[in-house]
Amino acid sequence: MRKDMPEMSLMNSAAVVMVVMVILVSIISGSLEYTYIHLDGLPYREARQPVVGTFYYYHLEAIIPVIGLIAFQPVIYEVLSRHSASQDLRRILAFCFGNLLLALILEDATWFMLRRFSPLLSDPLAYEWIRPSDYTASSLGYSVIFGAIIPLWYLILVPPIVAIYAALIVLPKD
Amino acid sequence: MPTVSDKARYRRITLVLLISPIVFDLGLNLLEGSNRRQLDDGPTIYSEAPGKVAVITGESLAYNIPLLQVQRLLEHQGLVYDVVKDRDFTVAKSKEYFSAIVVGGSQPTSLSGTAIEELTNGGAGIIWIEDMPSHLSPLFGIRTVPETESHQTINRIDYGEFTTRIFNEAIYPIEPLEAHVNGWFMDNADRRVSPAETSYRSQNTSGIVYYFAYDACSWWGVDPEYPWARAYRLQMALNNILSGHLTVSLAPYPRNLKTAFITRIEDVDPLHNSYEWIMRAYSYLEYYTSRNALLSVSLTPTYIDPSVGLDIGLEAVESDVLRKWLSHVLLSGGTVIEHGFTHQYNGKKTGVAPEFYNEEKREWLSLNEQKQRISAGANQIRSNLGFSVKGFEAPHYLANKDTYAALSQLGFRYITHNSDTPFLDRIGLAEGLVNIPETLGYIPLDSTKELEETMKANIDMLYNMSCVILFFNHLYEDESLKIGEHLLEYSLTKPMVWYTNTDNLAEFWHERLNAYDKMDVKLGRDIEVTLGPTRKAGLTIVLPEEKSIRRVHVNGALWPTFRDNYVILPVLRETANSILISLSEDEPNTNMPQGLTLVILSTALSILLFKKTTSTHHVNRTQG
Repeated sequence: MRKDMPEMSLMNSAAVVMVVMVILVSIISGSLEYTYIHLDGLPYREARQPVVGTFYYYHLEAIIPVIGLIAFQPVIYEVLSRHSASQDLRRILAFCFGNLLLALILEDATWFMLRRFSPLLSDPLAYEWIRPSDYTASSLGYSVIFGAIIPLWYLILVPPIVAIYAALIVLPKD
Repeated sequence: MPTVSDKARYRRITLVLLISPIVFDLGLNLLEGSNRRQLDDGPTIYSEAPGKVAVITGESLAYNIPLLQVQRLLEHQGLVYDVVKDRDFTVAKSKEYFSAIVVGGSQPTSLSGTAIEELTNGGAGIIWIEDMPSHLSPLFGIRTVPETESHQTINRIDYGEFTTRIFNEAIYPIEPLEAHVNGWFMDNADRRVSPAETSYRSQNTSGIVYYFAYDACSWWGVDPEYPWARAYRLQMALNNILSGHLTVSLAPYPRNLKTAFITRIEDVDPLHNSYEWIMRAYSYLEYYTSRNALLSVSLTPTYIDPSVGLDIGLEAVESDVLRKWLSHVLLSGGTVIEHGFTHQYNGKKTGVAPEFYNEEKREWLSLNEQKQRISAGANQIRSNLGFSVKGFEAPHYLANKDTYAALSQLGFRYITHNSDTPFLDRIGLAEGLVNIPETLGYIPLDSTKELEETMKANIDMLYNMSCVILFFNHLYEDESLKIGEHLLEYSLTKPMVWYTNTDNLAEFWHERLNAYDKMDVKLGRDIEVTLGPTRKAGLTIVLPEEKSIRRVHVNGALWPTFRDNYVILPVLRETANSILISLSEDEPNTNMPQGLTLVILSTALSILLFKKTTSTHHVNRTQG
């Protein structure tokens, strides 16, 4: 590996900053969605059906692209600066993919956390955590963990996220 | 080759991957038994009777106000109803309804006593207003008696919590047999003369029957102290006869809000440019804006005083400050209503005379003349404020059919008049118009604390009735500013109030009426409600308070926005939309098997990939 090339490992402070950034952006996106994306005074998720799965048009057209851009920033940097060898690029790509999956879960969960703990006055489902009828829970089913409904799509994404981060932690730097 | 410590590390990671989702998911689901909750007593199957109210009338409606007011009440409540002629209300027909309101003033002499008896014996409630054939009175636990001299001295009805005046109107003397007396006719000497309202239930299984011994549907809004007392009593009676039934109604406001609070700033014209008035107007606007409340301004865009040759339009330089304030109102979410073009006719000055009706000649302007004036005013407002008005308030509330036709043809969406009803009102107007009723009166000059207290008492009554709370304020003096602020403050202490403007409410009511006009309710294992289209999200279907909704499907798709006893609906695009409400069981976790399979696959693949990646890496390192 060249000396000026960033080392992509979770032990690397740049990678930690990257993960923190993705977490922050997804939490901010979830809050902005809950606070500002409304239809006739209702939070949008309570006023319309999603376009695909649990995602609305603004997820597909704005939130996911923005989160994706930030999550894949290391890859974009590497490709544009043509720094990495293909082996490293694959590793960075995996790391970015893990970030994106984590962000999707966090963005969705933030929306429901706000509804549960800091709801809008106009929200008819204020103070409710995810319910069986919410699209996030009904699209691929849900599980009840410690009394709280957890959408199964969260649990589908958790293993690859853990595997990617774990691989990056356990694999020694070249 | 992987070292011993590497192997231990892999085992740890594998363990983490394994226990993370799948173990929690499977293990805890097993512990919980099932994600699908069921009511202990199993699903209830309701009778197939449609949830409809019958409004029964006779042949001789001397004037149609009582029928109109009943219709307005039912439309406001969002209940499905039919107007049925007395002769058509047979025993077989009575099976179609779960309650009935009889407009006694229309002389329903052909009404079958057996049908009424069958109706009540089946558990349906009845409200009978005014004149009742004596042979039916025992069904209501009363006896009709001849009028005596003492009845001539009646001047009010005492309901305990409030009284309502008796005007120049007929009353119907009765004596209670077994009925409970809810209100009494009182004479000048404060003595009870005879019952004014009774209620009665003959057996535990029969419905409640109410009798109003006066015209509870008229003289609304006339009593200065409690203008809506009669409407309130009628609505309470309706609520009582419906209690115990599975009533399905379409709420009058979005998101299950209980009422709407609207303030109109009245009679604003281009001469409202004095420093004092503008300062009050800004102060009032700021007060409202800081509390997320909106203003609606009734604007006459041209001021005319022929006696001094004054003709000032909104475009005049003198109106700069007013235009700026109006722009602030619009920017803060408020609205402007056209209050006539000049609010005068002939040689009179703006504000003192109506515009479309000549009081001396007792003549109305023609349709074209009215249309011309309304259009001129709307254009003037648009060119000066860049705002297209959708609402109209006829000067002095004087409007006729031509006014409504003109407004409809010009694309106006609503009027805001006092039409003696606190309820949603579209009857008697032209196509495409609704009335946002003025219900709380206004704050006159030299207002006192007593007036403020009376208005607060009326806010309470309107709130309990879920009626619009709309008053107007001229802002002519500081006292009116203060009272206006106090009224808003008082209203803010109440939950579930919609602080909106006339445009928003009118637009919502139009959409609600589109849906309501096709409303149908079928009760079976589930409740099936059919509604027409609506472009607004937030329409609310309400069930009785004791019911708990478990699952909702809108046009076949699962719908998440419901709570307790109400469903908040999305935009409904179909001509006829089906809303299926289940009270018996939650939405089954139908997609769980697919989701669970994916969890297992995802976990297995992640472990494999992790092992492969790490072992390849070690092979590479070893070879390297």
